[in-house]
Parts: sequence; structure tokens; C-alpha cells
Amino acid sequence: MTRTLLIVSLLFAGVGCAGVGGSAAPSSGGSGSMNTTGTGNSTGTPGITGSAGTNGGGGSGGTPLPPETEAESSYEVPVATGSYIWVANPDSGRVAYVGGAALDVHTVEAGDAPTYMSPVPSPVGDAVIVLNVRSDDATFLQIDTHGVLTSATVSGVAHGANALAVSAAGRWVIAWTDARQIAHPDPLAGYQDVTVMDLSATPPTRRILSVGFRPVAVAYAADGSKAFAVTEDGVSVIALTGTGSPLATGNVLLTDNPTEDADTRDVSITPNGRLAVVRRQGSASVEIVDLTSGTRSSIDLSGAVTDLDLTVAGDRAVAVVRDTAEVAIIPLAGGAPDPAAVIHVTITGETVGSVSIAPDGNTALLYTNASSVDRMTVLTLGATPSYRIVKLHAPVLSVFATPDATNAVVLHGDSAPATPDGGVASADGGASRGDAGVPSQTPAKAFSLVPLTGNLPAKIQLTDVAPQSVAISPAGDRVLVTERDDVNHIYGVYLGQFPSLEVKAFKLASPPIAVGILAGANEGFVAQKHPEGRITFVTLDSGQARTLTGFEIGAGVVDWSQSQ
Amino acid sequence: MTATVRLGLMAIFVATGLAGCGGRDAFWSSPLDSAPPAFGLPGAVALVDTGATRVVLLTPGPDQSLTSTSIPVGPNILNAVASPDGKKLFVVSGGHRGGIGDARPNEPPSLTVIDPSQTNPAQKYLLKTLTDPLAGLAIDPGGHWVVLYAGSGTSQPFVSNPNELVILDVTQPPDKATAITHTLMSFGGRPERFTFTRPLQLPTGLHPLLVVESDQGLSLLQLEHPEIAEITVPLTNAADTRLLTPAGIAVDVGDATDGARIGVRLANDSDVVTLQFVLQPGADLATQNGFVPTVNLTDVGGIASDLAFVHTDGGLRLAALVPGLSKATLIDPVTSLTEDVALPAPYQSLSLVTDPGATVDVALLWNGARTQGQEGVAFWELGHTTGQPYRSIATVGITDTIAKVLDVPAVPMGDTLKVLETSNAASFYVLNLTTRTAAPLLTSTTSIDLSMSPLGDQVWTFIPNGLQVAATRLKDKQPRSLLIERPIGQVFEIQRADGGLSAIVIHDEGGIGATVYDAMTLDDQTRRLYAGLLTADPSTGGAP
Repeated sequence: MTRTLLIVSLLFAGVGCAGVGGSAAPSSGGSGSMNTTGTGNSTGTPGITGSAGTNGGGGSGGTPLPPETEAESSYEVPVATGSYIWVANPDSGRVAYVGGAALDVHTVEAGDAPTYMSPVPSPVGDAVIVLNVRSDDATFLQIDTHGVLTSATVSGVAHGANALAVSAAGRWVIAWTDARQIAHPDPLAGYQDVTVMDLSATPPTRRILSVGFRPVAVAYAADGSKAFAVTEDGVSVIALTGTGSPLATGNVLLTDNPTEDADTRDVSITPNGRLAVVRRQGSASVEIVDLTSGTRSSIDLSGAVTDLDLTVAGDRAVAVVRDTAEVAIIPLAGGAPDPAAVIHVTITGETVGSVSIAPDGNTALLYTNASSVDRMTVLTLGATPSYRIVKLHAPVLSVFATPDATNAVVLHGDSAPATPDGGVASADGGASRGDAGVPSQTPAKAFSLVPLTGNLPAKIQLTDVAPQSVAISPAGDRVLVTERDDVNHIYGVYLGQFPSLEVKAFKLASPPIAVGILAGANEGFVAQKHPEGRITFVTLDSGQARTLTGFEIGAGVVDWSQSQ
Repeated sequence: MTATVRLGLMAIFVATGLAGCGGRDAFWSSPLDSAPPAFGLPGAVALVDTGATRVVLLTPGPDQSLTSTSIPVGPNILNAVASPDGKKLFVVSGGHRGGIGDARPNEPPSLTVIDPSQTNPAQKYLLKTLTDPLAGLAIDPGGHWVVLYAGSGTSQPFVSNPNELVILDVTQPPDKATAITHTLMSFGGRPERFTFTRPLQLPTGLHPLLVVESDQGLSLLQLEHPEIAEITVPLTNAADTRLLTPAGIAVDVGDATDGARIGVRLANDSDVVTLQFVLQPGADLATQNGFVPTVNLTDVGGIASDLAFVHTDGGLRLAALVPGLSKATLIDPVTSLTEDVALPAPYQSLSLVTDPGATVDVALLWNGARTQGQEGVAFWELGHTTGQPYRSIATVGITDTIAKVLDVPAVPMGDTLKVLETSNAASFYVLNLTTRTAAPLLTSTTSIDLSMSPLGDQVWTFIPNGLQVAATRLKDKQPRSLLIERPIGQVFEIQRADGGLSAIVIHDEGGIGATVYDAMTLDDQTRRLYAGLLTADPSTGGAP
């Protein structure tokens, strides 16, 4: 599956590829987790933004998760592949899949309580894998180009797995347990079992391995030879090829300090699986760890690094120091870089604390949401970086660039500047000024469509309630922004168009839980919380909307003329 | 009435004739229905004489004359239904299968269409593909198709398939029409209602559909291509054993920019189902439907008693009446957003009474429960006022429960009227939709029947099996009674060929009789009484 087939609420897309890059969109599952979409950084991890050490911590622009509401819907959060939307129903044990073009609904039996699901890149069509939490197995579903569905079960998945990571080519799937998704985890529970599944085998095979304590992310080397689990013990390395594989082959320490709080770390792994890039809250250093040799080196900057992002290709990292408005462009293509090769840029006169790198890897968007700043900086990442300031009409909360970096969507905030939280003393002597673990602003009822090229002004769009999630089409010409207010029952989606900047608004009948684009069908979709399953489709060209509710009944429709 | 009685009535002539001939026509041995079905058609009253396998047309003439025309139909009459526009009568016959020694020729089941306005008033379609008859009959309001299906009752075959349909295009003459037999695929259900839609804006073009509601789902069949297999929408949630039973549908034909939709209310669930159609790419339209419905469920909070697509200031909505909560719910068919409208009474029925040129619909709500201070009828305008989902709900000062709303053909003054039949109340009302006034007319008893004049200028009220008949002019609400001396079966007002109007009161006794009045003057002096309308020799025809 190419990247053109799918972009789903940007916290899930492999945009930036940082951290857990190399995988397809990570698993969805557990209502509420998808609600972290729409927040600033594009590290691509499941959206536990704001919690330091995972991603986006320290004023990186992550919006805290909205409050959980009662789980009334039978259907979990859907995932989208090229032409289909897949929705698991733990109650019925079935997975519904909806064709974006014809809006035909089908269901297929999975295991007991299918819950967590992830798309799987497939050369023959659309595919997903779903974890069945009560039967401790996984169901692999694949639809070929003729619409024929095949199903395979992988038994013996480690109990309690609630997350999936899929390799870029779709051969490997690792089911693991994210303790942050568990309400009251036992302090002694390490959740160290991961199940490595090989989908290329017929039937698929699996092996349970052990990794470090409490993994927070899983990533793959782009060539599929290795997988990495970021844990509190360091980075566990899993060999996927070679004799005896899959096999845990080692653990790379990220620190010599046994007392370091792993929750203060933000770890990104390059797609080639060679380096881990570590940012620590309050520290002025960016640490580079060679995952093969275990060698650690650091790049020292002028102050506490407030955000760090990697390009999709993993050839560069961009680090931001808010206190000094310094931006460091760190080359990674050749391995751990010489500090002299790092390009330092100071954004004079601006406050920048967060970075979002466009998928093309050549443009970085710099901003801050720790204070009310109604501007952002567009920085080119060429040999001679240059930047320009883009005026907005409201403070910035988070920023999303289109794949070609010609436009961006900005969610706005509207509160007073942040009060420092006191920070954490850095062991390396870096500035101890605290970075807010969460944006200091409250979301505003507005977003902007921002042309990044030319001289066109940004267009601000008022919304009924604060925007929740953003999805951008692969072509970069359409954007969907959802809004949700459970107290006042206000739900909606906005369809924005580039370059015209026209916006169409649609009200929704139920709370949106996911938004995405089915590029193969030229449709955007908003999945909503409903006991029978509800999705509103928006045709990207015409802006026409259509809602499906009732997947079980919809799947029962039979056109007998088709079967004769 | 038995053959003996017939002979008693015609004793002189029959005895003489038979003594000379040595035999008699079977007509004279056929039983006579005590209350044969009667239908008012343009220009004539049709009596279905099942025993004689015929329909007798009673055509009024000047001076209250009555001409009787006997129209033979197929043997073994199973059913007779008038078309929804009241212009034709459809008679289903089961045919004849001769046993040993039976000299009568075999005849397949047939359908006879009787239209008195035609020179040849009867067209008989032989249903040669059937061996066993289907008595159920559904008629297209547009007059294009009829559907026969397995009915109920003792006349049904030993074994019948309730999902077997015979579809006939009655715009074709009998020698060209082909009855198409179609068996619906079933998950265990059986048809309960048939709806012929107007041409719908489908992804494949404008096409009419036959919507068949069973006790657990819908079937959608292309009327223009009944040979193509249908689409089934089962309403059973596979997650449990509960059957969701359709209770009625509403249809929006759509337009070039917005396709057709079908709304379905359920008898046992608070969801309303909306179907919209999408294209099936690559379908061969010669053998496949080429479109498929998408399903959208919306919970309206309670069982919906009536459903209609309405045009509001905010666009098209599906309006559902929920009497259990004394509300109506407007459903946006695109987003499934709902807006609740509180109603002053638990109205159960809704009729659109919008003026033709209006862009926003007006609905008439009725059949609410009778409680102190609550009216039985209301007008509901479906516009918006600054955020409110309705412009106004105006109740009408009617304190009786309304059971039925009779349409009134447009009257020359341009007012739009309805006649409201009450439930168990000794009254009825003339409702003026323009002035929103309701004129009560009181009756001496609650057991009354109503019928409308074809010109829409008066309503007939009578007591079945009684002697009371009155005509009430809608213009001035003046009732005028008739002098009737025989028990009343039915009352019809028929327009004569000379332009005048006759009132024909049918009496279900004496071999079926009639009292004929001039419907304009209602002059007792010029009325005429007829008897033995079904005992006249059919071979002679002419006046009874």
C-alpha cells in the first residue's frame, strides 16, 4: 500500500516517520484514543501526546486527550485502507468493512471480541489485522482487487496485547501491550511480552518474545530486518531475519543513569533502524544512539530542547529550543553526526517551541503553543536553510502541513501564556526552565487554512466548538476538520479546499471518533460513535455527504441480481 | 338467496320457457350474494355477481333511469378491487378446471379490467402461466401495473407460495401483455404490503420500483424489468433473534442533484430506516439492477406511527410522528441529525396538504387521543423561525378523534377542503385548509359511512343497513336527506353521460335493488326504485 492510499487523523499517519516510523498507521482501538488526533506534532505515535517521554512532550504541541465518555458504541474506532473502512465490533465478534466507492457494507467473522485493528500494506489489495482480546488471537483480513475477502487466524497472541505495529511491507506485525492504555496497571506488571507475527507464511506464524519493561513504542527498520521496542530499559532489538528469527537479540541502553525517569524521554528511531534520537525534557542535549554498536553521542544546543522531529526518510532531525529560538538541523543519513555538521538557525524575533516537518521532508513548520503567538515560521531544510514568517489571526495550537508543503492547517488556541511548571533539572546542565507538559492554551473555536507558498493570506474559519481532528488528502488539496462538544452535543466536520480555501460545514448526528481520507474512492469519512455503527462520507470533489448507520443491517442487503 | 328463490321471482316466464326447452341456463342455478361488492366507477356502479361470474354495470340515465349491463368475467371470482383513482375495476378469477364429466372448458386464472368509460369496457387477461389462482391484488396508482399474489381465505390453493408474484402491465392490451412470474427471495418472511413508486431518481436513471414490505424486511423490484432479481433489505439484526417489522414507508423521488430515498418505519423498534441508492459499478443493466441501497438508521425515541418526506426551510427532511412521546422528529437524511418538535397531542397520522406552489410543506396531523383540552387536528408548517424547526403548529378546535381524512376534489372556488371522519363520534367535519376552519356536522348515530361526490361539492352520509341518507353541500354545509324505504348497502353519486348527476342507493335485498335520485335536486318525487337488478336475464341486457 502506498502512502497515497491513506492519511488518517494525523497523529496516526506515518507522517514524519519519527519514533515509530516505518510502520503503517498504528493500531486503533479503544474508543477515545483516536481523540488525540489533530494535535500538533507529527511523530505518528498513538496520540498520548503531552505525556513526556512518549512524544510531543514538553510543549511540543500535543493536545491532551479529551475526557473519556461512557462506551456505548459497540463499534471500535475504524481504520481505513485504500478503498475500505474497517470497523470492529467486539460485541458481535464481527468486523464490518465499507467500500468507499459503492458504500457497500459487509461483515466478516473475526474472533472473540475483535477490538484493536491496524491496516496492513498489501500488494494485492486492502488488508487489516485485528486483535481479538478474548480469544487471544488475531485475524488477518485481506480483500483483493476483485473484492474477494480472505481471512486467516493467528492463534496464541500474548494475552493483554492492545497495540499493533506493522512493518512497511506488511510482512511483520507485532502485537504488544501499551501500559498507558490500561486504566490501573499493576506496578509490577512489565507487559514485556510481544507477539511477532509473520503474515507471509501460510498460515501466518507467530512467536512470543520478551522486550524491556513497559514498551511505549515499536518501530521497524525500513528493510524489515529488525524491529525495535522502545522501553524503560532501553531499546530492545528484535531480529526479523536470519537464523532463529524472529529473536530478541539485544537491548541498547539509552542512558548510563539508572535513576533516570524513562517518562521524560522522547525517543525516535530512524527508518533505517540505525539510530535512536533521544530528547529529554528540560535537557539541552539531543542524544544519538547507534543501535548497532550501542555508542551514544550528543548534540548540545543553546537551551532545553522543547521539540524534536524526524523527516519521513529519517535523513534529518530538527530540534527546537524555545528559549533561544534556535533550530538545529541534524543530519542523520550518515549515522551519528559530527556536531560540526549540524546547522543552527536562529529565528530572530520569534518564539518557536514546536516543529512539524512536512511529509516531503524539505519544509519544517515552527510555532509555539506555550504562549499566544499568532504567527508561525516556515523553514526550508535545504543546504542553506531560509525562513519566512507567516501571519495568522489567532494563536497557534497545532500545525499540519500538506504532503507537498504548499499549504497547512492550523488549529488555534485562545488562552493566556503558560505558567512554567518548574521544570525538571537536567543532568547535563541545560536550562531547567520548565516546558509545559501540555499546551498552555485552550483550543479556540477556529482553524486556518494557510497557503505556504505565494503571498496569499491565511483564511481563518470559525467553528461551533473547538476542532478535534484533522485529516489531509494525499494530494494535499482537501482537508477534513472535525469538531466535538459532548456537553452541548455539537458535532460537525468541515471540508476545506486548497488552493481555493473554500470551507463547507456539515453537522453530524453523533460524536466523531475518527476522520480520514479514502484516496482510492475520493471520499473523506467521519466515523461516529453509535451503537449500530455510523460513518458519514463526504465526496471530496462535490462536497456531497452521505451517512451510513447500521453496519449489521447494511451488510445484510442482498442484490440477488448480482449473484445470478 | 337460492335458486329456488330466483325461480320464485321469475316463476311465470321461467316455467313456461323451461317446459318448452327441456333445460335451463346455469345462470338460473347460480347463487346470489346477499351483499355483492359494489364499486362506484365513472358513469356507472359496478356490482360483482360472484355466483354468475359477471360484473353488472348500472348506468344511470335521464329521469333516474338505470341501464344494466352484464359483463362476463372469468369463472370463480376471487377478488375485485377498484383502482386507487376509482376509474377501473379489477376482477381476479381463479379459472376453471373441469372434472370428469364436466363439459365446461378449462380456463386459466384471469384478470378482467373493467373501465365503463371505454367503448369496450372489459379487457380480460388470461394468466396462462398459473395453474393455481392468486387472489391477492395490488394495483399501481398510476394505472400501469398490477401485482397478483397469494391471498388468504378458503379460496386459496392447497399449497401457495406467499412470495410468488405475478406482475402484469395493464397498459398493454391482453393479446400483447405478458404476465411475469417472480418469486421473491425470502429469509422466512412473507409480503404484507406493496407500494408502487413513481419513477425514482436512481443512479441508473428514472425508474419506478415495487417496494414489498414483508414481516421482516423489504424487497425492491424494478417494475420495468420484473424479470431481474430483486434487492432484499433484511431488517433482522443478525446479532440477535429480534425481527424488525416494517410498518410503512415514505418515498422521495429525488431529483437530478439528489437521488431518491425511501424511509421505513418499524412496528417494533424506535429506529427509522432510510435507504439511499448508490451505483454498482460495472453492472450489466440488462440483467442486473445496477444500484444498491445504503442503510441509515435513526432513533426517533419511540415507535413511529407515520412517516413522510417533507420540504422545510432547511431542506428535505423525513418527518416521523411519535405519538408515544407526543412529538414529531425531523430527520436530516444526509447526516441523520434529528430535530424534535413537541406536539400538543399524540397525533398518529400525517397528511401533506401543501399548496402546489409552496416551497415549504404543510402537514395535517390527526388521530390524536381525546383528552380534555387537547384538539384532534393540527396544522404543522415546516418552515424555520430563528432556530425553531417549525414555523407554527396550529391546532383546530376539533375535540373528537379523527379516524379518517377524505380528500375532496378541487372545488371551483379554489378552496382546499377535507372531510374528517370521526371515530365513534356522531359527527363529521368539513375542514377548510385555507381558512383553517372546521365545520361540524352532527349525526344521530355514530355508525355512519361517508363517501364523496365525484365533483367534490357534497359528501354523502348514510347508515349501513339503515334507512338514513343525507347529502351535505360543502359550500354552505347544508344537509339534505333522502327518502329511502329499503335498507341501505352503499351510496354512490355517479356522473351521467348527459352531464347530470345521479345518486344511486344500493339495497342488498330483493335480488339487489336501487333507489335512484337526481343528485342535484334530490327531489323525492322524481326518485325511482328498482328491484332484482341481479336477477335480470343477462342474455337480454337492457333495463331491469
